[in-house]
Amino acid sequence: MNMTMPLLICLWLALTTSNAAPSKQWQDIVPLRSTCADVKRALGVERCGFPDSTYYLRHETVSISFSTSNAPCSAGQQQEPWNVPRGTVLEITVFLKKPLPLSEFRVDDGKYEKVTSDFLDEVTYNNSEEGISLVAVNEEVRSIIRFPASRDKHLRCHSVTCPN
Amino acid sequence: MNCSSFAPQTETPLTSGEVDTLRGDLQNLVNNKDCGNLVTAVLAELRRLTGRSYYNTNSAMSLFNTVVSQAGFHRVAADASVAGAWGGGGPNNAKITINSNALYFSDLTDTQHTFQRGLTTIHELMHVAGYGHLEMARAARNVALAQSYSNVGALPSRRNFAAGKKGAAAFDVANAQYFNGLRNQACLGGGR
Repeated sequence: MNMTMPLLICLWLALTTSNAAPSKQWQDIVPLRSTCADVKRALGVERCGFPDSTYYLRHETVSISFSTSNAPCSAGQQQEPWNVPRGTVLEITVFLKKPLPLSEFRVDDGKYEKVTSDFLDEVTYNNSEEGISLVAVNEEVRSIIRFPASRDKHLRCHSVTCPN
Repeated sequence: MNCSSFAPQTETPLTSGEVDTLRGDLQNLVNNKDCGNLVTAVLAELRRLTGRSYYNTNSAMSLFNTVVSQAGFHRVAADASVAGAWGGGGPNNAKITINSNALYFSDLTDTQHTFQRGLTTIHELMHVAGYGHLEMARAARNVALAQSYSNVGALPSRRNFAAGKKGAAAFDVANAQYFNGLRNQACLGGGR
């Protein structure tokens, strides 16, 4: 049997798969919810370094901050003011090697605020309600930061609930 | 650099003599071994972090010449930032605008401000190369740690800034200042 054709098909599959769109596994990692185990599973990595880990992946560089306190909110343990167990994800920064079109994000839904700087091609779209910032250059999202959402403020140490 | 928005107003191109002054300010800094090494390494690290390099160079002087050959250097009287930059966004896009209201750009013949002008030019050239403050801060930290700098602090975290637009702007400024701090360590001596 001629083996050339199956080999060519395998080669084509390998090449096309390697050029596939980014899988965005980092989207499964949620600040104040996800743990090191979730990070390993989502990104296919083997270890978490505390307090920060940076992973150089094929389609993106992902940097993750973890809580490190064994006794959050106790006296002298206030480096991170979040009442979550040690090893919980606090923040994720994703540097996309293949930028995403800004149109993939609903930045005109009224929840995003625009911030500009001296880098005049760049606009940051900040959504504190959802805990996400998108850094875009010429309508392409290049970096994404996910941080604790406003709705998670009850997880802050010494949070105070005000009566309506 | 590193301030709030830089609203473009009426611009005038710098004369070739003024451009040469800025080139000299930059050259003086990157001729310093620590400064030159840091700038080159940060541009390389930015490429590794982002997978992008619009002008395919790790050389500040090369980026400077790219600006000269594209949209050029301009002067504007603005209220906010010391300077602003465009870059990495398309053909003939590389451009730097300096604020003539800023102390050290008001008179380019004033040799007293050569270092500050050079430092600002380094900052803006990072933008010309297509990188923002978030990327610049992280790349500078990685390089500073690799080059055994002292006083390499933790990066700013978005969660430590207020919610909303003000917090987002402050976070951006903090990243710009973080980059500037390490740049100054390298370029003004006594870095490590």
